[in-house]
Amino acid sequence: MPNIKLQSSDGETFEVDVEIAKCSVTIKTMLEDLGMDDEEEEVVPLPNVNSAILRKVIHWATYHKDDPPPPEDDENKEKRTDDISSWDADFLKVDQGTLFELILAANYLDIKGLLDVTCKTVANMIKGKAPEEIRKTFNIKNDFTASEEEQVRKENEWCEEK
Amino acid sequence: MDEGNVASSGSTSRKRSRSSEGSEWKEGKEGGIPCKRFFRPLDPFSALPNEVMVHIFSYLTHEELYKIARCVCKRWYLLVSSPVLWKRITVKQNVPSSVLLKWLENSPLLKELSLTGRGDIDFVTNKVSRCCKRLESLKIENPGPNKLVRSVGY
Repeated sequence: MPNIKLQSSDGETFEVDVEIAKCSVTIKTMLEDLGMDDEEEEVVPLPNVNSAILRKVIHWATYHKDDPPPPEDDENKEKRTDDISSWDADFLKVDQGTLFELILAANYLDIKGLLDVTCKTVANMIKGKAPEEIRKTFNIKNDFTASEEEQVRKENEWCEEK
Repeated sequence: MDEGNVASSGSTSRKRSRSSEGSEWKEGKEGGIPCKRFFRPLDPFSALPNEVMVHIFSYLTHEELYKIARCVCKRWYLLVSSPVLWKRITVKQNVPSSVLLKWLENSPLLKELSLTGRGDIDFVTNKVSRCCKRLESLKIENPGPNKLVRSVGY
């Protein structure tokens, strides 16, 4: 299998199987557009991904290289978050900063499977929490004014009746 | 515990010291993220574009979006209203009519609506016919001895 070199934002170079690299639609398109397929020494710069994250992404893509292409989102199907494989769940046992950097990398590199599973993981961190707990978990500032907050609370009164 | 998951594939031969804990924002200078020594830890969502936020929200139910996510901060409040999150709504009797009407008013892209066990069908269908021009499917289900299922395609 031919290899390709990917360069992270901090200048580290990773040699990766082309087929694995192509799970990133961004890289796949880049290779096709630039006709870089048979250039051996070509280095693909990835200025938005640092080496720690790129290493994780490559690890994920290597494990999932034989997966069937992810299905298009079906709007008519309820989206589940309880179907994360145990390998992915272990892989994503990382600190919050790393998890969000993986989301950004998956979005930039256009790797749908990785984006889905990282976003699901964050959704699971939101589920079951009250707004204040969510703010604490993610250091989110409550920027509602007192009157705005009162209005939202009023709109939500039915929730508390239960 | 298999902490050595990084670079174990053989496709890279790099040292693997900076995987999980050391990576957060340390190298973020080119992303414009300030060093965390000088600031309180940042809300990690602030780095995510709106479409990614909406993607995360798409894994929450409408009740979670409306009751919880909407109340977190202004940005979340606004993003919860993104019409793409409201293309398909399933409601049972626990959602009050007033709330359902608000959902419908803010769902211009609604394609599929399922109503289960609700006593306000006429009211709701009236609203739907005025607000939701893109509706393709309406499913009405009343559980009970005379189970009634109506499905309407538009």
